[in-house]
Amino acid sequence: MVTYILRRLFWSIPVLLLATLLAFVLVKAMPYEPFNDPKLAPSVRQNLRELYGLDKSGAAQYADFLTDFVQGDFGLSTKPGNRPVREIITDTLPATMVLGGLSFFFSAMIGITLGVISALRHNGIIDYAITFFATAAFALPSFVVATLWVSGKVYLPPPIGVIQFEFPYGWDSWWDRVGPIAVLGLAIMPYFTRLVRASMLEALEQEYVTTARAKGLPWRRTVFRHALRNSMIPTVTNAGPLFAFVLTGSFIIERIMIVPGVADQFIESFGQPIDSRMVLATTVLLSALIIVLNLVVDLIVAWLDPRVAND
Amino acid sequence: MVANDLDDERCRRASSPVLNNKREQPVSVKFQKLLASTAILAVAAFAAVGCGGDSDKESSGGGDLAKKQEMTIQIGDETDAGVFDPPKVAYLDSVNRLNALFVNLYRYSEDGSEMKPFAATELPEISEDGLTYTVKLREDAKWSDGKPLTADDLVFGVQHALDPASGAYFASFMLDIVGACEYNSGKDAKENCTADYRKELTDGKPESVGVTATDDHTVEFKLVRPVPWFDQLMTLQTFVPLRRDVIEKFGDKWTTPENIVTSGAFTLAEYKPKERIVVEKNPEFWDADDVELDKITFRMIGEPKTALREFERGRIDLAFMRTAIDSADIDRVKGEDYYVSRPSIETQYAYFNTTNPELSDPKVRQALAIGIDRPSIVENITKRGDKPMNTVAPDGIPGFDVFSQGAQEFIGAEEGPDVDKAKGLLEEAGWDEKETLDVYFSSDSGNAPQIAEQMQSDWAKIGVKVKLNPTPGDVLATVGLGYSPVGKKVDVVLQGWIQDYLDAQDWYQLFTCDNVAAGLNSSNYCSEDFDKIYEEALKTVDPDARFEIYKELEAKLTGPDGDMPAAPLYQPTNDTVAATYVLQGGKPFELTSTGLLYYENLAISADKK
Repeated sequence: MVTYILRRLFWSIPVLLLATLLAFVLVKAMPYEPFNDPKLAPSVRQNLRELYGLDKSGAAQYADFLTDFVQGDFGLSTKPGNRPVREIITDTLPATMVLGGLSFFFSAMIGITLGVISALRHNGIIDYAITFFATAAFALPSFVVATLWVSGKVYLPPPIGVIQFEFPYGWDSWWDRVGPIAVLGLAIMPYFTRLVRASMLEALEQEYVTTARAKGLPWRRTVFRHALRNSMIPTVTNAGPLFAFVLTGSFIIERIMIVPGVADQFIESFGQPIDSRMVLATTVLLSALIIVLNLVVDLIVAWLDPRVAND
Repeated sequence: MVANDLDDERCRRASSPVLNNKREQPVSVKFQKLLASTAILAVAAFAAVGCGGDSDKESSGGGDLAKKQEMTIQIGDETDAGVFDPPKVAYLDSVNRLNALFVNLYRYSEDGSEMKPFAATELPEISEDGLTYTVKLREDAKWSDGKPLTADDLVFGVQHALDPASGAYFASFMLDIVGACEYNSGKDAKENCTADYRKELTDGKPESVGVTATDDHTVEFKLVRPVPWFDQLMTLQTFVPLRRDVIEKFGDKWTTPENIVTSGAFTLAEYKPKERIVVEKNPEFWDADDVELDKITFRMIGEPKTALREFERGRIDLAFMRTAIDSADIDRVKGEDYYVSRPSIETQYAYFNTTNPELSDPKVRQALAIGIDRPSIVENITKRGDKPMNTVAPDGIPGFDVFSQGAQEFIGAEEGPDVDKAKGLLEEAGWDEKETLDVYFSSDSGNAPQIAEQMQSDWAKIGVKVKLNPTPGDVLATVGLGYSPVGKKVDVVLQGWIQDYLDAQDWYQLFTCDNVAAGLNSSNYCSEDFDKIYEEALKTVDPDARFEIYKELEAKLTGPDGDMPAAPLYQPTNDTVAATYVLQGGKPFELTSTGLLYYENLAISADKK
């Protein structure tokens, strides 16, 4: 097992390199050069270009990036203020990780539970209610939910009309944090519910369930010990990429709900003028995250389904 | 600098000299695009805007102050929000914040009409040839660690801004100081500092920069050529005294709350990235007794809707100009007594590509300029009380009363379009009705699409067909102002310009031949006559004489016999929300026309519960 993990980690290095090379080439292919503002004096433009190493050839710039990267440095952001990219990321990554991690955890807990209940009460009123809820949550974009949440207005049919609430949002206290975590959680939860419901329904039809029941295994034990375990495999496989999506996809929520996170910096770095070092750092981080998550997913799947490990 | 009003991003980027050209696409643009413009806004007369609550405010204002003088102010979440090294910042809210920490030499009065000495004791003494500026510093100025602020600190501050390693954008405005270009260029001085008025190059050392302390409190600036607006430049955050010993001791870490030594009314107490900046009153500040606020918490909130909500919940007392009011909310907020607004020193234009054959006749351009219904734009589309414009340079710049006469209100901006006059001009020019004009504008959000549609219908009335080309803001930058001259296919571009310094030269330079190649001249307009008058203005140090020359320039552009390379549309308005208990110099809070804000003048009245 240890060699398996080490081998996987070793092979992630060329993947990372390829990802950065691709990102680098794509950034360079943009028809835009930073600092070509006509209001900047030639000397000022040149100083800025030198500060960022833009005066060198493309290959040398990529080599610079790799050298910096190996030393744990990502260079300077080309946005005003010339801040080091590493500083920007370390300043803001924690909030995003906490937001992503907690909403992921809670939505998984609630989503899976609802999915199981839904499958067990197949075609019943509870199933319909849960499916309706999950579909509605799935269909509502988080910027709408976040905006409504922050506005604190709840729209009800007449004669009640609009009710004003003070929902928590922000990042100052744990109470404030409930807001963004709930809104982001609501966006992810339907994935779990729908996946678990579908695979659970499939698992309950399997012959081993019938066999277990025929042999007199209690219903509860059959469901939780056998059906659920097997139905978790597709959920776990999807959870890895989903988590990466959660980290990058939370930018709108971070922005609207004032979370000092890194996600909207990710997105902004792609705006013009493209912040090349920030884009590269983002690529490395996300690629590394997906590689690690895929590894974790594979390990969990191997634990859930020993046949995978034996292959 | 380029103003982004027409894509509504003026809200966040306004008045960031130089940097407005950078055309960043902040997340909010994309976000607002998603939200789409569901706004249904009402009409408001210009005069009514922002005046709603004034009488109330005055009666409640008065001299009584609250016991707890702590204020929370919203700012944007730009990347330079965590930067406290004065020459390195670029956006206006950062400039404002640094003005609270570091004293600059001069500051503008509220309406931007005059400069007042701040760290200096009087306006600079200018030699007759316009080449030497002498500045006297206050003798009672001190640093937050108690050391006196001296002329050497100012000399070092200027050198620090010019240091190539600082990468300061604003160094661009300082290169007419002797030796500044050479020092800022380093080894490339020979290539960069080629202007013919530079007689011989200096050795490029910081000591060779023409800024010298003649005694403990006097600094002399020597220039390579007369720059009539050099005194205006001294209001920038690059002319700020800094501490050599602190910067040399801590290097990049000199701006952390533990290390920083400030000279302004406040010191840095706390900085939490992307979250908050806390400053506290600096007891060593010369005027500390008159500084009422003990503490200011700046909260970084990038989303206008959230900022407004935070304001309404009473969690912020004052929002940064323009960032708090989304166009969807303006209707609701406009009548409130906490809404404040003031015309910005800024213009929005329709630039005509004068090199295209169909637009090469000035009569055609004049007809197009006359044909636009400006009152409708400001009343039905922008709705912030913006002002229809007749001139290239806006109201609020010194000398406006003089040079605006050059235009003779030829466009008739306030009255709306004179269709017959426009048709007559087109007929004289022999306009071919089969021609179609390609109009480019930012599609991202805001008012530009509606303004373009309005122009389309206005021009249809005078028999000019228009094809609308909505273009994402970042792509627009490559066809419009700021990056390259307007491309051949482009006929009209909607874009704006906001002041770098308060001299009309900043606007007239947009239409010089030199700036066609440099990329600032979006009209590709090049006229020897215009350039000749412009050069004359550059040499004229006396303001009144210069204003007369500007009048000629204005006439050359927008007057009855002018070339009309661009049609001025309107002068935008700055606005924000400020709690009625926020006082500024003892009076209700007002915005400045420059957008600059001096926090030491603020206080909280006893009305705050």
